[in-house]
Amino acid sequence: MGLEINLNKVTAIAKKEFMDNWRNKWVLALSGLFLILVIAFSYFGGASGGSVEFQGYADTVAAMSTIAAMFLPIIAIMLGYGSVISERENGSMGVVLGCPVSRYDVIIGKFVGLGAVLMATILLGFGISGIIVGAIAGFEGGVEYFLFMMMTFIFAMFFLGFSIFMSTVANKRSTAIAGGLIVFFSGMIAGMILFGLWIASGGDFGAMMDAAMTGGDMPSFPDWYWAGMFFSFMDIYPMGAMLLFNLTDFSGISYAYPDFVTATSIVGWFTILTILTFLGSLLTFDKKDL
Amino acid sequence: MSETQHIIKTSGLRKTFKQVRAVDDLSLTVNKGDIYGFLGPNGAGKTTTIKMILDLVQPDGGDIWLNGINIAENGVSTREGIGYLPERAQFYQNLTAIQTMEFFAELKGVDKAQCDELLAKVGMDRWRDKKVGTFSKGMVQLVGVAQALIGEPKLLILDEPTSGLDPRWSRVLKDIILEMNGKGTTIFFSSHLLSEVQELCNRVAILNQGHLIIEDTVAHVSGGMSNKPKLVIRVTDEPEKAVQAIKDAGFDEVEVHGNQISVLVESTDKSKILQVLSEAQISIEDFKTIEPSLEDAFMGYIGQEAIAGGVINGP
Repeated sequence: MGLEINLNKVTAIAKKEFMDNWRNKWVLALSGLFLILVIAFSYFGGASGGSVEFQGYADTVAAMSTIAAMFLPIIAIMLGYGSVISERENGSMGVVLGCPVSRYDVIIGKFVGLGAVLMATILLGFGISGIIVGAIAGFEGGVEYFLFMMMTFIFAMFFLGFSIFMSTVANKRSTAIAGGLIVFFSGMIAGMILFGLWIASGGDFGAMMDAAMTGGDMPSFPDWYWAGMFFSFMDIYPMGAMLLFNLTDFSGISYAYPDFVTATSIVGWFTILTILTFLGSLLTFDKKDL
Repeated sequence: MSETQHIIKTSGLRKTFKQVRAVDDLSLTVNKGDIYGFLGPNGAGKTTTIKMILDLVQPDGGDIWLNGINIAENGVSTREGIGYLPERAQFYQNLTAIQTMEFFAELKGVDKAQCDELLAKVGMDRWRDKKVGTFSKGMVQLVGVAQALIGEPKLLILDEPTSGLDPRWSRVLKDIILEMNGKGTTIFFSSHLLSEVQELCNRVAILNQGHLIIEDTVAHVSGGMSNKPKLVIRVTDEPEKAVQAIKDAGFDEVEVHGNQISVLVESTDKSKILQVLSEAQISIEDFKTIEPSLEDAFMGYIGQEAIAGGVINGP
C-alpha cells in the first residue's frame, strides 16, 4: 500500500486534537500552572539564599527546573495516554478510519495536535511569566530562557510521545496510563540506581558528602555514570536547563561534566527518544485491530 | 478499472480472536443499489465483518473487494464514497455538533457547507453549537447518521443504525435510507430488528457463529424454511362447517379461533379456498393474507443450525 500520508487530513486531525483540548480548558489551566510556577520560583526561589525578590532567568530556572521535571511528564502522560485507546473504546476511531484516512495520518495528526497543545501551554505559561520576570529582574539571559522553553518542550514531548505509543499498544486505558507511569517512575529511580552502582564500584562516598556539606567540587564520576544519567530523565533535564545558562551547580553542588554532557546532547537525546516513540506508534497502530 | 456490479464482495473471510473463531469462511456479495440486511444473533460476527470491510480489523484470511478493488492492495482510496455509522458511536465531548460534522467533512475531503443541511435533515440543527458531550445517546446517534451522509456516499454501512433512537427518529432514519437508496446509494446495514429489515431490504444475509447461513432476497429467505403465507378468513357464522369444507378440499394446516379461520397455503391455492367456502355457502365477512415473516425464517434457520451444527444451503 505504501506510505499513505495526506497533509490535509493530518491537519484536520491535529486541529481537532488542539480544539478538543482548548475547549476542555486544558491549555489555559496548564498555562496558568506554568505561569504561577515560574513567578513563584522567581520570587521565592532565592529565599534559601536569604533574599525574597524576583531573580533573573538563570536563578529562576535553577530553582524551578527540578520541580518542572516532575510535573511536566505527568501532564504530558495525562494528555497522551487516552489519545488513541479512548477513541478506540468509544468507537470514534472507527468512524475516523472509516473515512479515506490512513493510520499514519491519525498518528501524525495526534503528535502534531497534542504537541501543539504542549507548545502553546509552554509558550503561554513560561513565555508570559518570562516576560514578567524579565521586566522586573532584567532581560539578561533572555535567549537562554527561550532555549530553556524549547528544551522543556522536547523533554515533555518525549513523555507525550511515549504515552501516545502506549495508547496505541494497550487495549485498555488503564494499561496505557500504567505504561506511562512506569517510564515516569523508572526515570525517577534510574539516578538512584546509578549512584548505587557508583558506590558499589568503589565511588568515594566520603568525598561526595564533604562536597555536599561544604558546597565544594564533587569527586569526578566515571563516563558510564554520566552516560547512564541520560536514562535518569528527571535529573538530566534540569542539568540540561542549567547547562544552557552555563551553570554547573546542581542542588548547591558543583559538578564536573564530561564533554558529552551538554545542553545540545541532552536536547538531541530527548529528540531521538521522541522520534522513536513516534515511529513505534506508527508501526504499532498500522497493524492494530480496532 | 472495469465497472463491477458488486459494491462489496468478500471471499473466504476468516478472523479469530484468541481462541474464538469470530468469522469463518465468509463470502458475501452486495450489489450496487441493494438495501442489504446483515442479520445474526449477538456475537454472530456481524460487527467484525463490517470492521474487516472497512479495514479496521485485519482478516486472518480471505479477500475483500470494494467496487471491484481489493482493499488489501489499495487501502485508503477504497474507502472514498463510503459513509459509516458504527454501533453505539460516540464522538468528541468538547466539540460541538457542527464542529464534529466539519471535522468529518475535512477527513472526507468534501465541502463543509453541506454540514448544516445534514444536521437539519436529522433534526439536530437546533443543537449545532452545543457540545456533543451534553447530548443524549439518541442525539449522538443522529449526529452519527448525519456524519455518515457527508459527501453523498455511494455506500452506506450502518451497524445497528436505529439503536438508541425513539420510534419517531427511527422512522426518519428509515426514510433517509429509502431516499438515499432512491438516489443510487447502496445500503449495507446490520440490525437485530427483523421487521425493520423486512420493511427496508431487498436482500439479506443471516450469519451465525461466524459463518453464513443464507444470503438471498428477503422473499426467498422468508420462504426458505417452507413457511407458507397464512390466509386469515373471518366468517359470519358456522366456522366448524367452514373448517370441514377446507379440510375436505385437502388443506390440513387449519386453525380456528371463534369466527376466524387461519389456513397455511401456497399463494396459488388462496383463491381455491375462497371458492370452496363459496360453494359450501359459507358467508365470508373479511379475509387477508399474512406473508411469512423474516422473523419466522430467522428463528427457523438459527434453530435448525443449532440442532444440525452446520451450514444450511440457501435455496
